[in-house]
Amino acid sequence: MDAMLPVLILGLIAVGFAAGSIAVSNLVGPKRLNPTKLGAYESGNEPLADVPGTRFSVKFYLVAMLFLVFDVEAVFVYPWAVVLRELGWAGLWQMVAFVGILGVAFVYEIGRGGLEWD
Amino acid sequence: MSDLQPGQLAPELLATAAALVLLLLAVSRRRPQLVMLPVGLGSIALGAWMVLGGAVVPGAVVGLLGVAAPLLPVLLPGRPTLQQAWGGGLALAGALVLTGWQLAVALGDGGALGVTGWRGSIAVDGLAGFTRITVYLSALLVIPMGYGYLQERRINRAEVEPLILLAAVGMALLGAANDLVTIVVALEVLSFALYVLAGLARRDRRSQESSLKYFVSGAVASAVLLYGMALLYLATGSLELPAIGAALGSVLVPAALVAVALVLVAVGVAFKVALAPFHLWAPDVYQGAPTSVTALMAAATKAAAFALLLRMALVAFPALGDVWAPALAVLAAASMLYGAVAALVQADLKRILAYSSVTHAGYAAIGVVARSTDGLGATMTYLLTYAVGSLAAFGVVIAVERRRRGEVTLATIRGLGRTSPLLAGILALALLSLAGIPLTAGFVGKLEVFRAGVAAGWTWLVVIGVLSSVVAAGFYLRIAGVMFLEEAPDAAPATGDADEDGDDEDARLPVLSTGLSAATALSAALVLVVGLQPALLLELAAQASVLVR
Amino acid sequence: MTAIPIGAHLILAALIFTVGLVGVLIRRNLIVLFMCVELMLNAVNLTLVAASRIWGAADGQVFTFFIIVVAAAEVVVGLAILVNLFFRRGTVDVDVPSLLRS
Repeated sequence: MDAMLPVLILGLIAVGFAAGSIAVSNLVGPKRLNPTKLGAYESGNEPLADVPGTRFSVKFYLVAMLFLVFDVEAVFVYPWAVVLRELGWAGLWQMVAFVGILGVAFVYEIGRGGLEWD
Repeated sequence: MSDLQPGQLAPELLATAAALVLLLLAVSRRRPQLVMLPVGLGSIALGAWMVLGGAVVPGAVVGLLGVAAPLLPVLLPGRPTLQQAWGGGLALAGALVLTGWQLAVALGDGGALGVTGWRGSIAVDGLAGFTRITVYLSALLVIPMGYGYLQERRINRAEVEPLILLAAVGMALLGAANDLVTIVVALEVLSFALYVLAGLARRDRRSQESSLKYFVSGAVASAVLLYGMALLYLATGSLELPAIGAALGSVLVPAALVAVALVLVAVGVAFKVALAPFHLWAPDVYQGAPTSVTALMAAATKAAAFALLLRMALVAFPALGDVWAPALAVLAAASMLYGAVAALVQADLKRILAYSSVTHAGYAAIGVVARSTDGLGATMTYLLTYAVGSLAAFGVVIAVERRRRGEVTLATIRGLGRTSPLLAGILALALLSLAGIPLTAGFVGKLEVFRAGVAAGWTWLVVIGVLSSVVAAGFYLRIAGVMFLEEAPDAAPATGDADEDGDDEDARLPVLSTGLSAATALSAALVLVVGLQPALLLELAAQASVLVR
Repeated sequence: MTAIPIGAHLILAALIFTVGLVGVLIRRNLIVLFMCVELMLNAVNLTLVAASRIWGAADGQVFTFFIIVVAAAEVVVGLAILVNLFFRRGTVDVDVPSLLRS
């Protein structure tokens, strides 16, 4: 079982982190509730049940997509960092080129207003 | 790291760098020189350094582009999309020059064709060179062809040229890719760029539908192809195509595993080249995408996908030739027959050309089935001739579509021979070439493919090819007849959209701009030149029929 | 501990791939369709990693990195198309009447 122990610990940490995040944001996040805010909009009916799958604003999708692209590129940096010394200067310049291309994409993203919320 | 020779990927590096620069230019707002001046100075310095280092031609190309970069905003002030178009065009012209330089060096004294570079990832051979020529030439012609058209549809965003450049890089890299990782990266680069380009008209639901269909079918095909590749790696333990080919030639590999891998790879690649019955996405995608993008897909993507098919078939799977060749022959026969028959009942011109592209995939596949050096050269020649022919045809479609802002059907081009004889003549020439009539480029390609097929003993397949050509000639002639023999419709609003333009007089006349006429005329001229003087192209193809194995 | 035989990974990958493929063929919601494609790609990754282990070489794992990145980019492009389409026609069902017909 020794070999599986790290996996188990990792799983517990992952679940704990997910649960913890939700709990902390519920506890710490500001709540200024009042009857008007909790009531149905204008003269609408009181909802009979909670509707699952409330829609998110599409802005979240945009940010999530942009995050995803840049986040995943990091997968190339980890193995590179492990063997950086063996790769020498050539390896360094290759990574500079790679990050430079990402940088161009990032500048473009900002220039196009991809990170402006409104 | 000394085996990473930039020269072996020079055209791709140039085009990628240009795409990045154009992206920066797109967001530079009113200060283009903030981007172009440093880029220009850097390129001139790099070019000078390369010339001094002995690489004269690539150094000159880089240096000249460096001079051109800061001049673009000066010569075309306040017209950002035109700056983008010229920038993209110049970069592609540079890539084309570098391709010629590569081929000249490789075919000259002391040059080597058929070696690998970049640690085995890149093949330096004739297939790579030919794919580059076809792809960069097509992309270079598509930019001026589409400029005015996209402008009028108000979808000429600054991203068009960078995306075309990236798509071209992906296609060219696919032609040179010699291991599975490079193949996948190249394939996805070209696919992603084309998905976005197909959906360029964000308010046009047909364009969106085209993009979505292309994406879904492309993503599934990629996943199937990838699983096939993974099983191939499982069976052989190698990612490099020549090593895979060698391993499959031994008796030690598990036969069942290899069979499954072969089927999955074959299905994935057949999807990409649109061989029947895996072509179902092509007509919808071709019809809905902006026409200049469709032209790029037909001319360049076809060549790149066939480069993948050729390399997979002849380098990775030669040992299983007796298994895949009959299957591919059946697919080719089905494509030739089905495409020709289905095109007969279509009314939309872009759809007709889409079905015709399915037929042409069938013809080109004959050269693969032949499994010979001649077959390789024949398919490469065929793809180039098909590219110029279809580009000329799509150029005319764009011209007709520009005024009408809608679908171009057979009714639309009725009497085009009277109203604008030159355009009708070019379309007729392009169609004759697609039909494979002598004295046009299409004939040269078709003859080569058929000859290679017969030489390899695939007479029945060639007979089907001839049969399909006859049927196809029928619908090409039908288009020509509609243009030249029928009267033009009355200037009165026949389709109902004439009042939108205000002037009923010109509602049926096509619209030409400098770029469109130049690119279409050049495509048509290439069709004629290759048709009348095929020796040069055939000589090049014969010399370049070299594969890394 | 008793090691899980390597063949089990391959069979699991084949099953995941099949689930994804069947899902692509029978489901009509585009988001679910994307998820099925992701399943297929992850089956590919699992196969590659297992094969890499069998051959004692790292190149299969390198391939996996590239596929992960490609898959992420694919999802981004797909979601962008999807979001735009949702604004245009208010549904993500692939079966709504098509404008592109013969």
